[in-house]
Amino acid sequence: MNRSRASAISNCEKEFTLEAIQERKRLDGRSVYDYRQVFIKPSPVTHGNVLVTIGETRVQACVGCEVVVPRPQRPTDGLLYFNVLPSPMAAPNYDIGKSSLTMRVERLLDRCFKESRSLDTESLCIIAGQKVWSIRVDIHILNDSGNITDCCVMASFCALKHCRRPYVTVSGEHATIHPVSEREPVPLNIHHTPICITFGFLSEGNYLLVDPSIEEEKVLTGHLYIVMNIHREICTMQLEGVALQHEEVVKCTKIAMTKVNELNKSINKYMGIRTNAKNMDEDGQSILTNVLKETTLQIDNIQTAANVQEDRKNGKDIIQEVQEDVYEIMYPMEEEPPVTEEEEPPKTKPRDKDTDEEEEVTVTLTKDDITGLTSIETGLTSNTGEQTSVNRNSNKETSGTRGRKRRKRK
Amino acid sequence: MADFEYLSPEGLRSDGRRPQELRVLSCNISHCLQADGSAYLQQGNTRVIATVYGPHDVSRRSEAQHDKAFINCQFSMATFSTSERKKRPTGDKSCLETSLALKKTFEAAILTDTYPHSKIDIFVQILQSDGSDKAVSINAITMALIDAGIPMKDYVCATSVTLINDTPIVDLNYFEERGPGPELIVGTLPKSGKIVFLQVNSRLHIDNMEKVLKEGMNGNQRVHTILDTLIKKHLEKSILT
Amino acid sequence: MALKGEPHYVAPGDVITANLGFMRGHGTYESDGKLLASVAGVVERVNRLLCVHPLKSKYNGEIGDVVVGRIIEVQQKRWKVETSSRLDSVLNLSSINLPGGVLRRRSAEDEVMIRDYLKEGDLISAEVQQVNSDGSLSLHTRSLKYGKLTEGTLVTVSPSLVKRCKNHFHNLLCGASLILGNNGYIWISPIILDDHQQEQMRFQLPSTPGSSSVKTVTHVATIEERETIARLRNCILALAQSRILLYDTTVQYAYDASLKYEVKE
Repeated sequence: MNRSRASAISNCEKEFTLEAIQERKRLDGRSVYDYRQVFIKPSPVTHGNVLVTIGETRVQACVGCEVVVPRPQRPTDGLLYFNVLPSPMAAPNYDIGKSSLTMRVERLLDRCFKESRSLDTESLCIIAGQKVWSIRVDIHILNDSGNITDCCVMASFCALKHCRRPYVTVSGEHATIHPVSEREPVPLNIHHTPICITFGFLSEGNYLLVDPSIEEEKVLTGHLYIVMNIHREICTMQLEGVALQHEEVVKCTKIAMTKVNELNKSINKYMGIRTNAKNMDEDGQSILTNVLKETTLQIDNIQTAANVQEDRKNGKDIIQEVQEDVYEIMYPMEEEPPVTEEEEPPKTKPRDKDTDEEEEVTVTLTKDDITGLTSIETGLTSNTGEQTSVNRNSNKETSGTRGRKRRKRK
Repeated sequence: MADFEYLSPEGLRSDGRRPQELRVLSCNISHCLQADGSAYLQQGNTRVIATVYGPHDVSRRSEAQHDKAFINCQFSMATFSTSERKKRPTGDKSCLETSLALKKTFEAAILTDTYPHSKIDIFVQILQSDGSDKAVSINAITMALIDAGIPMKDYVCATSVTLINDTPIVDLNYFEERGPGPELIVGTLPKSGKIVFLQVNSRLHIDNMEKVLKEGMNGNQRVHTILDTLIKKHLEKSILT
Repeated sequence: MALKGEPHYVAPGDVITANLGFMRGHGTYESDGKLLASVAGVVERVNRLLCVHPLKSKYNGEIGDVVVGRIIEVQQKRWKVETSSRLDSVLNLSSINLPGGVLRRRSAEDEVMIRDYLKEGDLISAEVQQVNSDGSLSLHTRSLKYGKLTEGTLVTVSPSLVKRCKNHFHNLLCGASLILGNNGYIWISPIILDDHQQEQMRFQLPSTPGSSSVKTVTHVATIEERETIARLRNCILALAQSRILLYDTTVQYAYDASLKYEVKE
């Protein structure tokens, strides 16, 4: 049957969702301005490979770089491409190939990173007019459970942040690219952190909510995408399908600002970046890059755990605390072994044999992804009720085993 | 371009306008006899042609919506519209993005529920690009839709705004658009003051947001006055006798 | 409010009245207790009903309208007709007069032979039987004056230019007949024959189904008739250009006025 039909929503479901939001309640127990739990997992094996989840929405971004000839109009600028790949298993209405969704997200990413000069493309130049780095970000949408835009922007940022390009030495017209084993690869030059916040609007803009889930997206009439950084700058903004008063837009930017601060904290936490108040106030040059450059800075598990404790004390409960077990998986990137090294923390690779087959795309067969797969098949089961961490865990447990069974049958 | 002066000490812009001054706007309504509605709109040196076909029957079954009209919008730039000849006038990613954004904008402005099962085609092409392409396109489409007699809530008027030395500058030309400041394009329904199109490019500080937005909306009011006069004149001229 | 005699021009978003005693008609919408225009045009008031008619729009069919249309699709039991309406119109097999008299029963054979009656590209004149819930029109040709159009020329103008009259079929004094379709399609042909002959002409079908059909008695228009038709066509286009309502009198006057100009290459 027509796949797009499967994603349609029945009238009673629609009315139910609408009425709930009119009473300022949401189906997953959040309040109107709450963000779902964000979890970021940088790959311990490959640089520039990051999995980001917002609730059940799951996006994996991989960065690849190569040396190319620059565009004649801009001989000193490196290239940056975004390629959004919606996997057909992510949602019933996804088609392979370019659609209005991928196009919209790709352009938004262009505007976030290129036009707002988040990534310094000039630093990607090796020899002007001859050789520049071309950075390509492949964004795999693994599971669409609403708010794919925010997730893609966050995944792209984290992947770019996590990425290391080989060290290059230039002498005259001659450039040497050092293999990873020879010289420590260098991070990309990122000026600021663009973070996207999606606002959904219902019934002609009368009701507003942050971070819409998939059920809510089906009844939304319009969207407002605000991309901001922590310096209170709007990197890009896009309004779609709804008429708003200008006070409402201004209000949204203010809400976005607080959300951006919260999300920025959790990005820093997961990406193993420690921020301090002094750096936060610095303008222009990103604090994050500065911190990263301090290679001597060693953050071990105990220290980051202390950060979490601090956050708890501060009462930042919107981004929920990371569960202890999840945290063990985390591997601070400063301690990351070089790519060639095979040694890994045991917990991260229950299925690494499978992933080896398909290099960068660790997409298909990790345990988490099977969860994604089965949750589509089982429909709404995983989305009912409150999304407590316990619930999540048990869900993962059951669907994980289910996934295994499926694979055996194959 | 480094020492290009966007705002002279006297407070005038490179083309002699004051910061809040619009370029000369002229419009030729119903120039294309084949289309159900059409408009040629010129704002300074930016020239745009817009045509509207429909509402008519959907060409594909899947486009039909039982409760509202399907809107199809195609934005393109003529190969000769920019100083460098463009190779792909329609296939370009940013053109597709603009098409989508325009479609969403007019979905919010057109009373689509009057025409279930139907489709409205909007085609807009930039003939000469000198800044504010998207804003001028929106104004042109509005005129074409009015000409086609398609019911809308209101005019949709749009302008682009930037910030130079903390002064908001309205209706940008090519140089100002390429300038260092942020760019905000805002489209409103001028009667109710509701925003239906909003795009911010480059970094705009949140504290300046309100100021820039206000100025854009003021610009839209002025665009509306001009467009309204043009429409009323057109009505008087071509009323049935 | 519009004063009598002086047209009240409105554009989308303009407030027509804040008085809610009025009923909203075409081209208007309600917001915040006010009646606003949604199209650009002149406010028209019929008792308590307020409408705005745009200068140009798609044809909005009403029951009883005479239309001229073109068959674009032949389906199992019906035809799809293009009438410059916003949706394609429908002509059911049951809504046409079948050859062999009004009382003939329809049979399965008629369905098989549907294409022999009317096929893609044929022009017809018809009447609007019903406006469906989605806004599409159902047509019928169950009168001898309606049916397939063969000899003549079609002029297309904006639907708003055709005046709604009692009669849309005119045999003009100048020796041509005119069908002023409400949908802006105007058919000019040589004088239509009297009813008896007409009946013979229309849908002449073979006595045995299946064999090749000769549909109409071919009538070859004389050169004079052609000249008249061409002149009428240009008159109608000239009237449309200067936005003058079209009905038999205006067309006749335009024709008379044009006579002082010679036919030229």
